[in-house]
Amino acid sequence: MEVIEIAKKAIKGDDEAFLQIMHLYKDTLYRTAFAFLKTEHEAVEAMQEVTFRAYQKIRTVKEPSYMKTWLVRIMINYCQDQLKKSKRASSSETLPEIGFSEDTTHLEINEAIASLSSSEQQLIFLKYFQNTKIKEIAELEKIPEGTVKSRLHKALKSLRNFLSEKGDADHV
Amino acid sequence: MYEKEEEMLDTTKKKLEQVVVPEELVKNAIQHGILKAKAKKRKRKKTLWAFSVAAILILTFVTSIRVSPAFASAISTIPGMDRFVHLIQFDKGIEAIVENDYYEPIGKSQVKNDITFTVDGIIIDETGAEIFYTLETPYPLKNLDYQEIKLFNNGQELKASSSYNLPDLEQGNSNEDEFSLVFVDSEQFTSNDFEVQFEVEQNNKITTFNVPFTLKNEIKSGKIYTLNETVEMDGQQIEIKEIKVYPLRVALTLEFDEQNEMKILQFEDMRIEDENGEVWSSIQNGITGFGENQNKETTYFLQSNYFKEPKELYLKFDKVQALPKEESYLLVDFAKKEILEQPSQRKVEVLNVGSNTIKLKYRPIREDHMYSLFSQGENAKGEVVDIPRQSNGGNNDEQYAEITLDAKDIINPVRIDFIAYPNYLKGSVSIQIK
Repeated sequence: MEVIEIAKKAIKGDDEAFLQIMHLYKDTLYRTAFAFLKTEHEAVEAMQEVTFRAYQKIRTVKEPSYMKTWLVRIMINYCQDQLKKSKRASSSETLPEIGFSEDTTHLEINEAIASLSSSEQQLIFLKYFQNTKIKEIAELEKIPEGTVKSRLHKALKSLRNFLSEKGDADHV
Repeated sequence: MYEKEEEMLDTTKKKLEQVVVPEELVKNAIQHGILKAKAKKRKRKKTLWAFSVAAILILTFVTSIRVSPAFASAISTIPGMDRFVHLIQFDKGIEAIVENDYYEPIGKSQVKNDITFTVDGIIIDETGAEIFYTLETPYPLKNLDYQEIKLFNNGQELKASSSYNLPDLEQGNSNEDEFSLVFVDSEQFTSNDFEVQFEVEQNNKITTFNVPFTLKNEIKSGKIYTLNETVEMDGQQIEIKEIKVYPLRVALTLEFDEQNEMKILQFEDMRIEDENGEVWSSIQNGITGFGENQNKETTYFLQSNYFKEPKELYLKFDKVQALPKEESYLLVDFAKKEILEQPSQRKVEVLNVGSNTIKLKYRPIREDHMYSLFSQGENAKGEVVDIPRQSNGGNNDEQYAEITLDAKDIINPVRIDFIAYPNYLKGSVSIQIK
């Protein structure tokens, strides 16, 4: 069966279709969780919570072809909330960051992404990690495509500024 | 313009794609997420017991419902009915009702305080009513809470236990749903004039709707089979007294012999079969029967075969839950957080006792079913202790239940009778009704 057909059934409340959808996108969702939360344990927990939230809200999905992005956005929101919570709990100064701490070559870009606002992080993640179309993001966010583009532009600019400042500081 | 940044992002993306996904853990997490969501959905179902019924004990839940495509398409031909397809607990009785045009469209509304309440249609017989309604507001429904639902006949309230789903808090300005009423006594209606009274609360303000209507359909009365026949199962005597067949349900009245050693709890597969072996099984969701705590006379509801005219009818059951009478309960001291007495079968394990809670674990009793293990407690003074919350969850291997008792009524020790327990009588019963 076509993915879109399964998605339609899931939206109508078909449990089996919902399960199929979750299995179809579990790798994407898990990796998204891992990118933010960085431990297997927390990412698995995120899978459970996101399944829970998605099951409750699946009927609100308007466009079945955007199912994957809809799920990824729930995951990102959950992860960002978790990071904010743990930040409060530990009251540490470190910003949430996307990425993998062992690899130093990617530290910079990870830090840069982490320096962005929650909504900018989400935008960057969807556009560059999930290859989500601008049109789709615009419809899901209920904003014009032009606004998505300018926000994306602004986010990239922030990344560049962060990286060049960081670069300058390293050269001193 | 931002080639360098985009390139860095792309590298990060490729790294992310190499992250190994722990298949089993993720699968389990998805499974648990779904179970959790389902458990929550169930909890939102509210049942209001009519006071005059002394401890109505039988309430089970089904976790999955399948609608046959043929029936779904049949129902879509009835004006307005298609909107309700997703919420009816379909059984063969309801299918027959719809096929025989016993569902009556009403379509009457009342607008009050900007809220529109519409009675879309009704199925009614002497045992109860299924009322299909729509509630619409200019703002999200999450501000609303349901209060009381009453049905009047000729100005007289029909005493009933009602159950309904609470409106979805997450979304929308309208809610289409169904009220299920089960009348405490088989009602003899005095006219065709009815009125639905429904109260909602919003910011401490109560809005009461009254929607009167006159039924055009004749209300079908029950077909009664009097039996008074005693059967024996595993040494226990059960008298089958009477079977009444109504459009919405079959009501079967049994009486358990006082000399029985076992307390009979649930009939898992009670059913009626006709001469061709076609089965009408017991009602599987919501109120499934009325009975008293003393375990004497009890009424069970089965799916209805009202619109069929079978030549022969048989009542059958094999899986009957039961416990020895003297150990069919938990005796709990909540102050010491201790279980003083419990069934020696130990098929339900008590994990933890809190100041007014008990956590239990057991093997799933029946596929696709959730049984409430208890209905209410009794304190040291012999007064009722309510159990306002019971939650269930788990997977195919184990089930967990947590019950919360009304703390203000606890006087230790508290006795809590089981109404379901995975211990069975041996043997099987089949008797001819017709």
